[in-house]
Amino acid sequence: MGNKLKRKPESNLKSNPANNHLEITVAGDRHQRTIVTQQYTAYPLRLSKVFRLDQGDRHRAYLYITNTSPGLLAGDIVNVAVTLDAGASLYLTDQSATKVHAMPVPGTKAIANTHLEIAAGASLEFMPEPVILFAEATSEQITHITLHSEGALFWSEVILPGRLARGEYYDFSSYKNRVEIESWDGELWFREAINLAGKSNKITPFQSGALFAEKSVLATLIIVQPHLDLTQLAQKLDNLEGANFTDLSVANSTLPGEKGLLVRVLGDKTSAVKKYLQYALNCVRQLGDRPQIPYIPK
Amino acid sequence: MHSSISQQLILMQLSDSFFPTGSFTLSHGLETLVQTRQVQSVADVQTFLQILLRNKVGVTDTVALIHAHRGSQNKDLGVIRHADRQLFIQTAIAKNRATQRQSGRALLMVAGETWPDKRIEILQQDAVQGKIHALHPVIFGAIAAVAGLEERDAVLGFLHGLVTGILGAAIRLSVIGHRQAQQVLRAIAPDIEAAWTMATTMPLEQMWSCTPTIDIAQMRHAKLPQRLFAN
Repeated sequence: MGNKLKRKPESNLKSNPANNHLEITVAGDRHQRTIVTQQYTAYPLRLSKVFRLDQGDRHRAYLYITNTSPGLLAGDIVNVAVTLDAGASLYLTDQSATKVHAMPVPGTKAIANTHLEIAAGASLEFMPEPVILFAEATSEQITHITLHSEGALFWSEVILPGRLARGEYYDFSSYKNRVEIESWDGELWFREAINLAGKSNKITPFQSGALFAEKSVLATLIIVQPHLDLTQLAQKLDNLEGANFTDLSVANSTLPGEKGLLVRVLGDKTSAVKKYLQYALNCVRQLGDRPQIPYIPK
Repeated sequence: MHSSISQQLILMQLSDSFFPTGSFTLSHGLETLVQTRQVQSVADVQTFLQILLRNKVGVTDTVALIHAHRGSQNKDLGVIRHADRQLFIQTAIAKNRATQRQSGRALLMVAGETWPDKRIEILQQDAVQGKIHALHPVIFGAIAAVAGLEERDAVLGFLHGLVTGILGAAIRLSVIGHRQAQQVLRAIAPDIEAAWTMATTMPLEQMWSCTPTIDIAQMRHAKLPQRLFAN
């Protein structure tokens, strides 16, 4: 077996498995169908069985993470580790939005750590439901991704700065999110870190003003696809009129080292933003000669 | 050892748009926002600058500048290279990486002739050999230390140059007048000070940025049908 297919040596950034609430490894079986080869879950997280939703691609596994708690509460620390062995193909999502509840006691917060490891020839499509920041919520999310140069990643995040339907808007305390991508040999090549301030900034023109965020729902995509034409993909992702997304603000840029694309999406409605994310994933699949996303039941 | 008058003159020289680094060709996304009518008034320009200072430049570029200044002052070029690398991997927008690289290399060239020093020579070689990206804030910090500027003056000089460059862009884009630009410059002094205060204690690994609308404007700039500025 070539060196590129070997498991990565342990990174010092990798989480301690003993602390994980969900730890899974997926790999291809002898028919090259992606199966779960190792699984551990602890309260509050559970994992669904493997679904084969693609009629045209029975190799890809579809998995749902379910959370049996009402959401993230003060003091929660949730650790997730997902490993894709060489050649594995996984669509990973969750069943419902992550609600970050009020944490009125100063200094309290909820922390979510995610470690993703994607080996050569593996492909991860990570499409979680939105994170909803309730009034007085404080949350930190850290995602560390180890990505082989021959591995593919479609990573997404949608943030709602409150329960918008009931008029709650930027009443949370703070939301910090850090995403780091390192190469197989441990070189960190991209870091995206945001600090979204909530009620503390409402008095300034920041959150209430269109120049900070012209629309309420914020989304980010990170797309690394080693064998796709990034220029062609960028053009497709920009074609908002052709794809009927005129109510969104969307733009993309190449990542450091021209290794992929970062896409920013702003929308007034969660449904429109989620529809765009599906459109973006379909663009990736289409350019890679793979079937379109099937119906994902939830 | 530089006299205080000499230091003040160096500060003026480095932060003056007369200093040829090409920074005056940058609008940092303002041109897109003016063309899409998202920036139409003096108040809008001021808000744009406040968001940029507090949520992007103050917590990324300025932090890298400070670390590079400290590295240069301590003659530890490894710290400068690390700051350059950290800023590069955290600058998500390709056009920003490209313009920072161009300005940084221009600054290295001019500074090498103006303040001859072994540290600048080595950084020039590093840039040629591709060992560093030579991003503008990092090179500004390193050179400010070589030239004898204190850390705080280096930050204020950098931020003053950035803000006056953007105000100059706003004037050329006909969104504000010269007198209004001076009023805005005065009004955002607390934001410049806040940016310095925030950055001075931040480790490189804690840099962050949060400017969704400005990010989109900066990403879209290259697709504008007509452009006066490089970003």
